[in-house]
Amino acid sequence: MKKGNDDVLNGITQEMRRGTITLAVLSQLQEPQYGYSLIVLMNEKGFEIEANTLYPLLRRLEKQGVLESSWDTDGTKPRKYYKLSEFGLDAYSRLTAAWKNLNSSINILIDEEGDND
Amino acid sequence: MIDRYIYAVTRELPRKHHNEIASELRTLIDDMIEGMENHYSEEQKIEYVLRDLGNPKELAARYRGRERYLIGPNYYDKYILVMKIVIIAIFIGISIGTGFGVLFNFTNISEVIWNYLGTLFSGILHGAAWVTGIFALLEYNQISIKNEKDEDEWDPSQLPELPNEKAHISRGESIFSIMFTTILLTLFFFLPEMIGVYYKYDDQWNVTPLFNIEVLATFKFIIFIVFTMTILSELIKIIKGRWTVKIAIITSLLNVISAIIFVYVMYNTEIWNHEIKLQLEQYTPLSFERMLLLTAAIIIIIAIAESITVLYKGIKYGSTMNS
Repeated sequence: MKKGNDDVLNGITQEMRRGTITLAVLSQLQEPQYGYSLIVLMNEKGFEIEANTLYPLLRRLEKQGVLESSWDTDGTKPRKYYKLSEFGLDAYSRLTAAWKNLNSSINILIDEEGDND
Repeated sequence: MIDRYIYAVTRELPRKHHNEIASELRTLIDDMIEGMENHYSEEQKIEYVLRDLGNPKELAARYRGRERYLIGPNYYDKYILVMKIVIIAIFIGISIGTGFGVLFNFTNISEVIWNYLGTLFSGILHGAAWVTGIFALLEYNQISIKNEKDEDEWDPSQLPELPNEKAHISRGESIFSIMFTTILLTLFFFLPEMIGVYYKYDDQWNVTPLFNIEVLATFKFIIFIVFTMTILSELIKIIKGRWTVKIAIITSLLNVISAIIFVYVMYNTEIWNHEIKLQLEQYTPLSFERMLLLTAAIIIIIAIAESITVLYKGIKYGSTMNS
């Protein structure tokens, strides 16, 4: 019974996180980054993301035109760098606004509940 | 081990993306290994990193995004239904044809059985392949149609009408029609020499084939198209289950086109067996051309009448205006 509840909670938490990952990734791509450097960068800043989530996501965003990529083959290893496209920049600023909006309305809702306690 | 992991991921993905994803993953795995503390052995590091990346099948699924189907859950039940109908119909068609053959055309029995099994096998294979092909096409189109529709704003007025009792398309009729068409098609394709006039002469049954088999063979493709169109329109009816203006237009168009092609093929005099022409003219007062004309007229009248009924039903019961 207890374990079932944990699963439910995990599921909901994951669902909530999933929606925020795209915005988090976009926020760090004003400057070109390759996948692994992005993971390190985000982990340093406290946002845990796994390679098996990030890599497919980067590809999808590139396909959708939000990101653009270029291969750097100068180093020892070939690296694919991603950064925001023009459309991506625009999309990012809109998403940021939407996030702040959502955040403040959620805060109001949550605080309201806190008052009742 | 790393190569095996990358292979396990990319083989589940479209070929044109293999190289790019492979080299991106390889660099990633390298970076991850370098990023680990040094007191592990190389093998331990690799194993740890691959475990971290997780099951290659799941990773590949994430790369693919939406799952794609040849025949998706929306159509699966109908696919099975139609597959059953078509296979049963082919079975019946070939059995009838062969049965007649045995009755009237006695050849040696083991040859007949081998022929029967061979024809049955190739007939059912053909049928199954075509049903699958048609449904794969429906599935493919459904995906693109859906994407278009998603962009439209939904409005409550788009809710489908509760089907009027009379708007309901009888599934049995469609099934019967698919069955009948498939039986005919099977006969045309696999046993055309069995379609003909049967008569008794000197206590012995004889058959004069209706068609000149060689010429008929050159028309097989057209005939096939006509039959496929008929089956397709019945399929659409089964899937939708009720008359709408759109379905009415599609079915009546397919009807008229089939009728036109039929008449066109009929009027190609080469297609008829010369013997049957003479025999028929011997026993009836009408000339063969007259009979053709009559049959053509009947086919056209039926096609038009059917189209009108269908359009009437479609407009009367199918339009979303009257609610």
